Amino acid sequence: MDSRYEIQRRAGGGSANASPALGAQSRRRKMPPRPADYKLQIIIIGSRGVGKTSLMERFTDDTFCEACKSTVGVDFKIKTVELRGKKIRLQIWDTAGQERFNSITSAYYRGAKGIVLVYDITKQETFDDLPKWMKMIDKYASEEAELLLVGNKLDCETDRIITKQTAERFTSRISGMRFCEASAKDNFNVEECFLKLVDDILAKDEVEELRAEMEEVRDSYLEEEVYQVQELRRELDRSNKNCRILQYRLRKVEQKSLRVAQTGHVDGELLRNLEQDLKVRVVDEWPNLVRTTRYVLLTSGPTW
Amino acid sequence: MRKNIRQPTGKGTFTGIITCAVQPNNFLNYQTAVPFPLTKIIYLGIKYRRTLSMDEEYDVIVLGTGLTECILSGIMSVKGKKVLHMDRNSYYGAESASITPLEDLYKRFSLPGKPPESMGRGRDWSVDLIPKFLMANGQLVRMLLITQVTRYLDFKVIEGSYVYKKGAIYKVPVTETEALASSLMGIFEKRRFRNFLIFVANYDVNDPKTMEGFDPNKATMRDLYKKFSLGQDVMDFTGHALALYRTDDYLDQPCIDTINRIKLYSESLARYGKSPYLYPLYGLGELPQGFARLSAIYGGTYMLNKPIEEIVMENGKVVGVKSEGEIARCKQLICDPSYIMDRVSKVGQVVRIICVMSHPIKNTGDVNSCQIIIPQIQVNRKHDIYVCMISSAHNVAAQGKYIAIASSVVETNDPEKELKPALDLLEPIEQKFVSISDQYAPTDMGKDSQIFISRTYDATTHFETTCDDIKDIYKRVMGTEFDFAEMERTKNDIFGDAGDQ
Repeated sequence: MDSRYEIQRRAGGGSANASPALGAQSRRRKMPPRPADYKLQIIIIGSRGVGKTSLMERFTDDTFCEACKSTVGVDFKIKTVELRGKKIRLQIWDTAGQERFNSITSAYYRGAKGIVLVYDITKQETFDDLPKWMKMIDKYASEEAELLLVGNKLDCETDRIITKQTAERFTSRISGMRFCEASAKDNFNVEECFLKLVDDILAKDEVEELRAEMEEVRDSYLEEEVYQVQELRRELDRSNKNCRILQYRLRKVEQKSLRVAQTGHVDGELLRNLEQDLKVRVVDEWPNLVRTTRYVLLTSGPTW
Repeated sequence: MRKNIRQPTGKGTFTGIITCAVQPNNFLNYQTAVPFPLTKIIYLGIKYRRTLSMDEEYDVIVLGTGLTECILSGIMSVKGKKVLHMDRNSYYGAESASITPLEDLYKRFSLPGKPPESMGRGRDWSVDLIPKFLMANGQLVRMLLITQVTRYLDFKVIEGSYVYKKGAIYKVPVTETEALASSLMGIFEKRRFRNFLIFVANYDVNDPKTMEGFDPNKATMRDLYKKFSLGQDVMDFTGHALALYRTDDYLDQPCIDTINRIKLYSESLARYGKSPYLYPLYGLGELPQGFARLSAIYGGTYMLNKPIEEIVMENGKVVGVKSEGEIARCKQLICDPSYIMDRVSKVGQVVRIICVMSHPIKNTGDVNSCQIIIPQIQVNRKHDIYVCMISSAHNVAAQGKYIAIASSVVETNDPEKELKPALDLLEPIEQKFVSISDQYAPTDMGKDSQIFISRTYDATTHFETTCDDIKDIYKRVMGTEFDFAEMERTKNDIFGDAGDQ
């Protein structure tokens, strides 16, 4: 099938699509990239001019552009990080400037595992807009998304209007929301903030995985116990059966010995007949054996 | 609730009372103001670079964020034009939107009170206003692939297509085995039908040998049917379930159109096997949003919740759009009929009934999505009735719920009654939402006025007519024929370690 007509899933195509066309790119790298274990989608939202693109650029490219206008031309940026022993490919989506007139599409919020909400510590209105963003998140975003509140422009400490306490009070009212302050310009705390968010997302996933594992283990233990009980039951049945057989045999032997005791003496006639039989049968082949047998028979007497 | 922020007048003078201390700031572009909740927000009218959006000149202004308008906006932005896209609603999609949450749907249809507990969580719902599916090999999918808007969407294949015949529904066969077992036509007819299908599949417009002495541009479809001795049953099935015509008018038209439609159907079917249709998760409203994002990435400006007061004309040509007291200037205007009712004419009416059920449709094998075609001849009408069904599997409804939308062209004074055969197939229905919408077509083609109006979404079951409208508007706007290659993203907009994409 023509690969152009494959409808690809939103979280990017298979990571192991190292097609020959990309071979030139990978040759330029020092070593070919190992496909990522995890793909995560993170969106950044916040009012205009708070520094969303700056934060993203600082994190992905480690650059900062002072004079940049409203973001145009960026769909998302990709960064690969290693956390908890896993290689994670982060897709950090940008608003494409649609927040300028409060026109972000609801589709933007879907599928995001992590949401970074940014405000400017020197502008009160960017903080006052936060409830509006929270409303959008509640309405459209997945419930499992992890939230992170970032107070940007920490380099302008002298112009600070929103105190750390105010912001922490805001985040304490929302469960599961983290808070940190950063400066994209001075590259302070940016990477830590993002990595903390990713770490929490992974931790949540790990908790889920652990929970699933525990359930599996519990189920398998239960299975084992049930199996053991069944085995014991089978053993019991078998031993009951053996017991019955032995009892039966015992009874039979008891009857036989009773009969023998009743008959009492050995019938001499029976013995002589037996001798005759033996002699007739074996005289051709083993005469010595017959003689010794006769001797044994005569000497042992009616003790049997 | 965010209050309306009045934009600065941009005259470069101080206006109003300074109600706060001005903060000396750096040169990042934003308006400095401290909002006081009870007073009007008054800005300092110092002009900044690119802060004003209304008082600027744009190449194109687009009104309405329906699918047609969003795709055109995306195309224009990618080509480098400066686009301003506005909508009076607070949501994207206009007539082609998906309404979420469920409470908003109840409000829109003026149903009193809130949805009952049995409907689950309101936010799990995303109900389409117009029922349509995408043909897997159709033009819209092609547009999605070329523009890579597929990055923002996930799709599912519709599980089956059914056709109504004498009170019962039958599955439209998708494989040879199914076709042999189907009771839609007699055994001898199936043989003749198979020969007909082989002819259509082999037909190549460039190779005259495949036409077998038949000129499809002149001969009618009736002649073609006669050539293969196909009876009435087969003719109905082919015309309505394969070529997806709504009426029988096609019989006396050149058969080239029908042949292409049948080819489109079988090529779409060949892609995914179960049916020729695709449906985006979370509803059709995701499609205009995807294209809107494309347009925004390439510089388009988006404004929702914008009441449009007037379209400003000068010498019979559009020069701008007035909204909230300000005028944005433009060279060309694209809009949907609701913004410019004096330049459109009514061409019909469509009735659509949205039905919510807790069970799949009977006799469909409990599939979670399907399409049912009720050919007009089976119910004594002029137009077919379509039923499109989707469910919680597509993230459009709460768990265990199904949404079926029945639609058709209105022919009588009692449109709701016309859809009764369709509703009978869906009983028991928990909740119905009835809408009768007028269909408009532009009377002004924009040659002089530079106003390009789209057509209202029709009652067909897929987007081919919508794409035809898009191509037509493109030709009127640009003056050249539409080419799919025009839609390709011109810049790289994914950055970072994109090598292992």
